[in-house]
Amino acid sequence: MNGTDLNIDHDLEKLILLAQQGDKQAFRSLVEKYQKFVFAVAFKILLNDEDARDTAQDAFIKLWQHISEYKFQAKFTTWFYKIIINLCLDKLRVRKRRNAFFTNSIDENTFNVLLSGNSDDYSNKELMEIIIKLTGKLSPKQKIVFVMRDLNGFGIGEISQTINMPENSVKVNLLYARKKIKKYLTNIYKW
Amino acid sequence: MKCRELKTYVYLKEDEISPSVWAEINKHLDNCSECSNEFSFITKTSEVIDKIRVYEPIIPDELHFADSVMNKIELLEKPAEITMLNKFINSFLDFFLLPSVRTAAVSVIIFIFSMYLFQQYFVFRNVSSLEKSIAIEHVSVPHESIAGFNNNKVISAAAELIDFVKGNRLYSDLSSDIIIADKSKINDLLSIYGDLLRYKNLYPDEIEKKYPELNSFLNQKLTLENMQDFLNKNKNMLNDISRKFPAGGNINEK
Repeated sequence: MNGTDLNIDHDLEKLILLAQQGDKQAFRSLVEKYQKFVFAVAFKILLNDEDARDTAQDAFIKLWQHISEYKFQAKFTTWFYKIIINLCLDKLRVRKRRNAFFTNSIDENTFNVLLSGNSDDYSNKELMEIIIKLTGKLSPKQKIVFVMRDLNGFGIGEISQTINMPENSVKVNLLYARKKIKKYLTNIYKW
Repeated sequence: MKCRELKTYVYLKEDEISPSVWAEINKHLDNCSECSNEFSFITKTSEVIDKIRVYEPIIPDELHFADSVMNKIELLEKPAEITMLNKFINSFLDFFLLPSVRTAAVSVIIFIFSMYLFQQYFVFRNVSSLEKSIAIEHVSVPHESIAGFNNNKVISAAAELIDFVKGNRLYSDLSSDIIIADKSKINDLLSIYGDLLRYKNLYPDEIEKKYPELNSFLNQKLTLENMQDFLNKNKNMLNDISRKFPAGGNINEK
């Protein structure tokens, strides 16, 4: 997972407690600490810079409004992830009919850059195209499960808790998602 | 584990299945070259996925991201701090959105509107009865009709006469004469005059032929003196007329 185990992060705990008491400076530190994480999650689901930025901001605003409800019973990121995922799902619903979401503008070179180079070799746009191509044929459930598990490293239990889906259903959706992705990659690379 | 079973489990990772199943998968792959070759893609797929996973997309305008979030929070909180009045108005309006309160409010509005209509109706009725009483004051029911007509008939004729008087020649005479004349006498005279007018309307030919005096009286300008003079001189004629209209009969019926 991208985040550390936040239950034992005392600095984080302190920041959260201060933010719960209305300390905006502490909350700002939380924003700075998690902005990349939140943006990455939103980006890998929404696949659009602007939408991901807006959603990330909305997620922090919602966090500020509801931070007093966090009782340290679950990992902070898991709890926060629910907020992010729900906002992403709202965003997806709004633009459900946009064709851009399933665009096929990717070419093989993009994948080659991804496979051969390092992280600096590709841009948001290229990464976005890769994920679009990989997840384009997945159902929304499969996509969310795949993005959470394989692109963000969440555990099966955490996913189940976050999207209110039984663990077995999470696994089944994940299995089908990986099969489709494998099929797609096999077709490209003739594996 | 058989090759067919492996096809299902092979897509799951170590921490997604039980250790015993994981051990069986590995054992099978070690011993089955066919499966081992067939599922070599797993490593390759993981490579692609891992590269995507580790990549952190770049936030547009990252330096100002936190500022932007904090500004939005400030903006959201500001209105709530300064406009307590808005808060009060909102809670007041929210109160009226409660179903029970909404129903009660609508009922009160309907009640008030009904009361208004009711009041308007009574005002109208009072004005109307006031007008009537004014009319009756001028032509109240005579205790005894001079011409011997029955009272109902006289009332009916008097009411018609009032309408006639209001828009015609009698009104100006009445308004001046009524000051000096005996009120009840005027009423009696007007009642009779009403009957005579009605009678003339019903039997114009007969009146013209048999009672030329009445005809000429009804055609001339009406004054109290004329009326009294006519009645004094034509008592026989009036009795004759009253016999043609038996008491209780309908004046409209021939």
